[in-house]
Amino acid sequence: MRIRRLAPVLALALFALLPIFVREGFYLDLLLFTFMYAAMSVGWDIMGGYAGYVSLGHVGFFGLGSYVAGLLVVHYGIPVFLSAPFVGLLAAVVGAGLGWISLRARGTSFVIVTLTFTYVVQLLALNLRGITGGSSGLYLPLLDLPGDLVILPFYYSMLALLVVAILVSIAIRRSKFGLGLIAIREEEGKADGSGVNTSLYKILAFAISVSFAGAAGALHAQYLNYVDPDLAFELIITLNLIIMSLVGSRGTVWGPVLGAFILMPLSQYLIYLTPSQIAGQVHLIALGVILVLVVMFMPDGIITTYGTWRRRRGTARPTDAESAQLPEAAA
Amino acid sequence: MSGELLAQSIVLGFLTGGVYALTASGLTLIFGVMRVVNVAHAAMIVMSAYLSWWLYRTLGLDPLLSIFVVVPVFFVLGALVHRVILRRLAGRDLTLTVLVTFGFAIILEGLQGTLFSSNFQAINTPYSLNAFEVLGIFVPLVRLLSGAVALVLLGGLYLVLGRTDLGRAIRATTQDPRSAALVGVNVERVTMLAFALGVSMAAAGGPLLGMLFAFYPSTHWLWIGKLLAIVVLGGLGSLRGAFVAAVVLGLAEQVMNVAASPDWAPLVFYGFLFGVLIVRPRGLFGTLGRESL
Amino acid sequence: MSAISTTATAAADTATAGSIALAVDGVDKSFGGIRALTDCALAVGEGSITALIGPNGSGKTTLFNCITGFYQPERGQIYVRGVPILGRRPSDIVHLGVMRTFQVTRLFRRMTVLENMIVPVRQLTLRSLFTAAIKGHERERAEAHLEFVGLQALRDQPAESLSFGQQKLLELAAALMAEPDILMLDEPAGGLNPVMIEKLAGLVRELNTRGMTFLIIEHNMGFVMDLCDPVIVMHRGTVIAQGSPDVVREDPIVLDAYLGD
Repeated sequence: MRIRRLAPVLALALFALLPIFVREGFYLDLLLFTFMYAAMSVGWDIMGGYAGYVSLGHVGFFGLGSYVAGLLVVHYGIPVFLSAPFVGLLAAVVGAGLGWISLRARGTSFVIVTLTFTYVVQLLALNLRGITGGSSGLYLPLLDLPGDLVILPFYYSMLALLVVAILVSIAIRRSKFGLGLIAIREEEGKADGSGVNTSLYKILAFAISVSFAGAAGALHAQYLNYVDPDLAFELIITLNLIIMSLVGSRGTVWGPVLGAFILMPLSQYLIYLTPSQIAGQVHLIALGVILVLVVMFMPDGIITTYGTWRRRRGTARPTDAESAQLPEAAA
Repeated sequence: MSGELLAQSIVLGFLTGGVYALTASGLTLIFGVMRVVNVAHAAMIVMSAYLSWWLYRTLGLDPLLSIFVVVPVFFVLGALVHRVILRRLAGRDLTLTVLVTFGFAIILEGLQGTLFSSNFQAINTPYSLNAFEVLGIFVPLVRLLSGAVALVLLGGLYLVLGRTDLGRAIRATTQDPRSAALVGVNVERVTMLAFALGVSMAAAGGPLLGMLFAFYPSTHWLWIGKLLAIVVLGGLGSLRGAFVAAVVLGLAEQVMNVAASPDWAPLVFYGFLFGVLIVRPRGLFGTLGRESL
Repeated sequence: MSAISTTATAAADTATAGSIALAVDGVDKSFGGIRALTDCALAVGEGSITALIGPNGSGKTTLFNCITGFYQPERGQIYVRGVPILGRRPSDIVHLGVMRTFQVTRLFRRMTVLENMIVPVRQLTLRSLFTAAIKGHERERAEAHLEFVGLQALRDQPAESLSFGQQKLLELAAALMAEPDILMLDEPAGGLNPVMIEKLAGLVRELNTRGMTFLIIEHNMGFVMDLCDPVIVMHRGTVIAQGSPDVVREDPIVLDAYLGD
């Protein structure tokens, strides 16, 4: 039990100290993206896993965050490391608005609205040329740091984003709010009839869920020193979040993290293996195939499936794995 | 805007709306029986457009005639996909099916990029640039042809749904799968056929849209947005609603094209979509979220 | 608005307690042309155990769904202690103190028994939202209610592993967690064995002596006649009779409704 509690802290210490020993940009870059995706996927899972509402529009908030942060740097000189939390907050507010449109009814309208939201933001980014630079994009000033150190602020801020995401997810999971979200997933009508204001719960969950995508987008824009309507709104980003969450286990705190740490290196390796002119396309096909296969053959994901398997063997003890069960809160 | 320009916009909008209606009909048909939005619907349209383009380039097959090839091919593929994949997800969490169709969309996009490159394509026939003028209204031939073909196909679909046993079974399943099963409808088979039929409607729309607009692998994200706006405005699951909404939005888009700029025209669709849901969270006809009490 | 006052006085005559906890006034509800409720009106006296009976398809469950906000009637109004509630969402109606169970038991099947108990909330505040899910005094209340219905030993089992009768008791116990003033039970005795039914009746009586008002849909006439007063009879979407069990039992209109269909 102690090891279970201690492991995340040890992992955090390891990742915090790692840049002292590992200087290769390749590995730090890979880890940085893994943190970023893990954080966004943990966020996605608050809506998609706990409440059971699948968002296809998280990249819209990622792109929104990229643009807002980019514009703040370009026009007002506010560094993204300062603005990122507020960009996350802005994403949450926009998310609440979008949730109000699509979550008052049950079911399908959420899928439709989240999917189309991305194109609305992309359309604005493309057409408001005077502000966003249109299709030629927006260049952010470079950070004034020596070449081999420039990655560090991004590495640490993405790590921090992941830690915050995990803490928020744990807090929700242990709260009455989280229990209400799981109730919505299990039986929405009954939840409403039990006094759970399902619309409010869902809207709040969605707002929290997208805030991490917004903040990640902000940091990402400065990392590339560039935003354009194609880069900022690539649907593959949403796809990644979903697959990570599913592979690890939907509705668990650590599932999306595990999924990100499996999928990111694998993706990089795949891209490295395939000829560059079709690498992007092959990557796309591979991810699509993985999504279909996971949904068909292991929709519960690794953690939950493993937990079920252990319980069947009779060595059960309550773990994080039982997706609907809550850890006892020390009151 | 001059009167003639307005009249022309209306004619063009109506004809394009007909093609939209054809493709949206498949989406709404599939939603009706499966209660799930087929996110890959537009990707299927684009795939069919590529197929038609390829048939024209290699065999010289006229895109309008290629409909007779792509529709049966997609019908069989649709039935297969349902039998092998979607059928296994029936009765489980609906979000899983949504995710699978999202996966299909991605796979199709990747396949198109690999097979046909990511460049713009368009189906250009010798008559693509022809146009004629009636009462000062200037109508490109391909618009008229595609609009007319779309209306004929829609009429056919309407007859199938209204007059045949399969159509009755599909309508019964759309209303209430459990009651349909009780009166002897083989819901699984009917769902498979309806899905295949919906996919064929997407396939039929491919060559038509491919003649009207340029396309590339990721175009389907733009088109699915338009189609979703149409089916939400028309009431998900309603064919007649989808038809009316498609024509209305086709018109509005055309007017926007001329009055403002083509850049902003897609906003017409999103504006209607969000507007409807703001006023009526369950859609104009209350069909959204009626999946359960 | 005059209609409601007449309904209210009419009901006040029959209700033992005098004041009205729940009033339904001229409610119409139809589904695609089929009338489920027509000008339906009734009143539930404060502190009563009121039964709602009638043949299958007479609109009892539809009326429950209208009262609890799951359906929106086309016409009429529903009052909880004089407060009109039409247009409110189901959770708001719970917050007003009206809680219901379902004909086909609805539970959060993959949650444990104890977690099922914690979901219902009488009041929604931001603070309560972000407190620990299973905290001290709430846990005690949950365990007390579980003990009340005799399920305390099963509290860590997943709800889906319970027997049919136990699931019904769990739904009742969970409903109590929302501290309702008015509890609406939809066929609570359906499918239960006689021992369980006896136990259920005892629970309802006990809660009623503590001041809880009941509106109960039930087909088990023994259960109704023993426990409930008054009895309201519905037929074809409207109320055709009401009164004490004995009066209703003898009413020719009621007999006609049951035998005529």
